[in-house]
Amino acid sequence: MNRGTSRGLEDTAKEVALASSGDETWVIVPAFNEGTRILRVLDELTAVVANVVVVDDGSEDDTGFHVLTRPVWLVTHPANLGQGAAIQTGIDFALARGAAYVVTFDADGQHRPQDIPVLVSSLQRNEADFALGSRFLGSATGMPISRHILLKLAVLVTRVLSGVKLTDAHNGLRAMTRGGAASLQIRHNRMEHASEIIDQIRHCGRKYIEVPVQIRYTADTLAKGQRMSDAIGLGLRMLLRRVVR
Amino acid sequence: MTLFQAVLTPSCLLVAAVVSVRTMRGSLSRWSGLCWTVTWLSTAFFIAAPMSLTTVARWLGIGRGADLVLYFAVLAGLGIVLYYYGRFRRLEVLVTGLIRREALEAARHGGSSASSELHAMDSNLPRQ
Repeated sequence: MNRGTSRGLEDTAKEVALASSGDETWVIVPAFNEGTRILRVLDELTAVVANVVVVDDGSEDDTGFHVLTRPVWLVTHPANLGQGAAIQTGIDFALARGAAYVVTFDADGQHRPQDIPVLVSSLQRNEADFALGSRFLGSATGMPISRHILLKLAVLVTRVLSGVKLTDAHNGLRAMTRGGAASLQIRHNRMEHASEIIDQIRHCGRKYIEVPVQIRYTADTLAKGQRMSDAIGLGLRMLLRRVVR
Repeated sequence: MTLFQAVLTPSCLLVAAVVSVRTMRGSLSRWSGLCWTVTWLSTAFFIAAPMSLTTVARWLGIGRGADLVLYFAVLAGLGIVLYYYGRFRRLEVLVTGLIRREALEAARHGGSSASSELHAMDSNLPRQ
């Protein structure tokens, strides 16, 4: 980590402390086979927030071993369930530990910890229950055009199926209040959870806002991202979910 | 009577008889047993008298008996897919709950204060 980044993270840590009395914010990091990059993410995160829980979703590599070398919590699914299930496990854990704010954060390094206090303070300022990160209100460095089209399609599908107008429907960086987190019950284990969360926010009548965030696309983050074939499967499952609950 | 009819008609009647006996013994619910018995008896009848299927199809406004079978098969297939998807989902929710419970109980901290904190949080864990 260079000095400039370190200074940035220190400033951010102070902002977090101001925004949420420090220990009240819990960051959930769902991880599956992230052994090669989880440490970099955790080092950045622990410089900003005190409470981090990594949900190892049945990884076949040494993700869990690496996580335990850092001062963070590790919750391990004995079998791979999917990101939605891992987030719900993390929410249950954070609420049991008394979290006032819960933040979801991807393990691949595409999110910036500096955005966390911005999300949390947005919740307080707007008296909202959910602050959803939006790369299209903020910025996305290195985003391929195919990913741009895919995400815009997801926005369109969400608008049609859920009736919710968002600029970014599948951003893994989001913050929620304790009440908001407690109202969620993610029942779809895999990637459908993003639209399921939006559905539940609307169904419960919770207030949500979109907050500009920055997403960093690198060869690493793109290697495990969603492909067009995944997106088609996701769309079909979203449709099926509306028929069979 | 063709060889196809000679083999399948008694086979379907036999299955219908087995289903009826199982229903009477209580192995199948009455509603389920009745549906299956009627299905197998109808199948036996339409195999033995294929022209009657065409008559039924025309009565329903469908030209050919084969089309009636095709439509019915597609609808039945969709129904079966939805039924088993529903069962799969219920099982998935159940298994997820069990795995989550086990994972939360075995939570560990990278720091040294892990074990004492673990005991403290046990009572706060959500019940599935």
